Amino acid sequence: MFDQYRDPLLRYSVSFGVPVPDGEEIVQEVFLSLFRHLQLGRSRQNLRGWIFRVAHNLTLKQRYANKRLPAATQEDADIAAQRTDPRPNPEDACSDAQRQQRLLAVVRALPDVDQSCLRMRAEGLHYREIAGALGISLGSVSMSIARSLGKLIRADQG
Amino acid sequence: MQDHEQHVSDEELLLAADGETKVLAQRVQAHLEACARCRTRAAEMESILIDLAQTERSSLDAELPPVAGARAMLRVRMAELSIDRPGFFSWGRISGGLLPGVLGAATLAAVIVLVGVMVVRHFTATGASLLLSPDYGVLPNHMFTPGAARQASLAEVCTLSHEEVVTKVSPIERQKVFAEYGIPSAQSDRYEVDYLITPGLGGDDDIRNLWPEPYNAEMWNAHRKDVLEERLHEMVCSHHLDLSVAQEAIATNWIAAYEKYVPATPPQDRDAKLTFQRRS
Repeated sequence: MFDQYRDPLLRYSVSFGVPVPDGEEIVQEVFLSLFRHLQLGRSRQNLRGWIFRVAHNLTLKQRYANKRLPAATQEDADIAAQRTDPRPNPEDACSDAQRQQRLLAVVRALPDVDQSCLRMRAEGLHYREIAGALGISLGSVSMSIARSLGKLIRADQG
Repeated sequence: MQDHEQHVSDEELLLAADGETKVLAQRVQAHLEACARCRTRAAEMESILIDLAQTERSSLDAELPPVAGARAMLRVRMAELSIDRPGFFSWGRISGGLLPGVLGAATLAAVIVLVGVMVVRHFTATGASLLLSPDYGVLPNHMFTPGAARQASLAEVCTLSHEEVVTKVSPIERQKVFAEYGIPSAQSDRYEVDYLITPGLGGDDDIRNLWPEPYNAEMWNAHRKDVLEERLHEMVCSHHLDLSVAQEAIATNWIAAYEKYVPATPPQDRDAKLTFQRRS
């Protein structure tokens, strides 16, 4: 299970601007929590949604903690920007890269909950799993994703 | 307006594509077959979502360290967690946290006596006086191993092979089971960590369903339990016994279940017919 979900969870954390080492620590915490959860004989229903929920909460907490460190914030933001927004040099720019950049810019401008829904969906979670992970209704998930996809399609065509 | 109302919404398209409700999926499918506009919309949404997933991966995956180091680190931390986990008899917890000094020692002694009484009662309640017999330990302690079953249908139990439902008990799981039963690591090779409810009968891969079964039991050993498991599987799949009854019987007292369900034939004859293999 760790091998299957480590990368999706780490991508999820890092995509919110959390540095990779912090993201690694979050993933470790997720699986240690899962270990304790199972040791205590708790529910095995929707474990994929469960681990994403823990990752989501820890990611937001870590992001908040990083923002409270002014010196680190700018550095981390720069690193995150370099990582998630690798602007190509004009010479190297190609249409695919520009399109990717445009899509990522649209995603980063979305409210947190919309980004979460979209990223969990991109990682293959079902709408019900996303709803469980984020503690929102199924209808809210489908509306959020429909709204976000609409924005992405318009940006892609425009 | 009339035309717009005939189309399905984006939300409905997404939910139907995700398999949400059969009725909705059928309605949307019927609509898509007749409506090129909605088909295009559905394809656009799917395409942009795939592109986004690929974009995220191409921008992030190169940054992710190899999984092997993270996996090794997790194993170490899980092992530490198992060792540090405060158990029933944690002296540190009793003396340091709740009842220091003499009172703590007295409480510990009382707990040991109480647990001793409970263990004796548990084994004598089986009616076999197993505590003093060569077969001591062949029944699990229900405090630690009450048995656990997964959600398994009769069809699954009767069609999947043993290998398809069983996973090997990891060293960490084995360690946890031995720690729970207070078996020193030096003696661990005398035991097989076995499922109480076998996966072939819907047993779960859960510590509540695992116990250290002694190899050296003379009468009620692992081979006998295999015979029972095969017999119960046979009865369940021929509709002579409910799956839940079989699970409960084997979880409550597998020796009593053996005596109840297995016809009195020489064990060696049955051993030869085993198809379910054990795991260790």
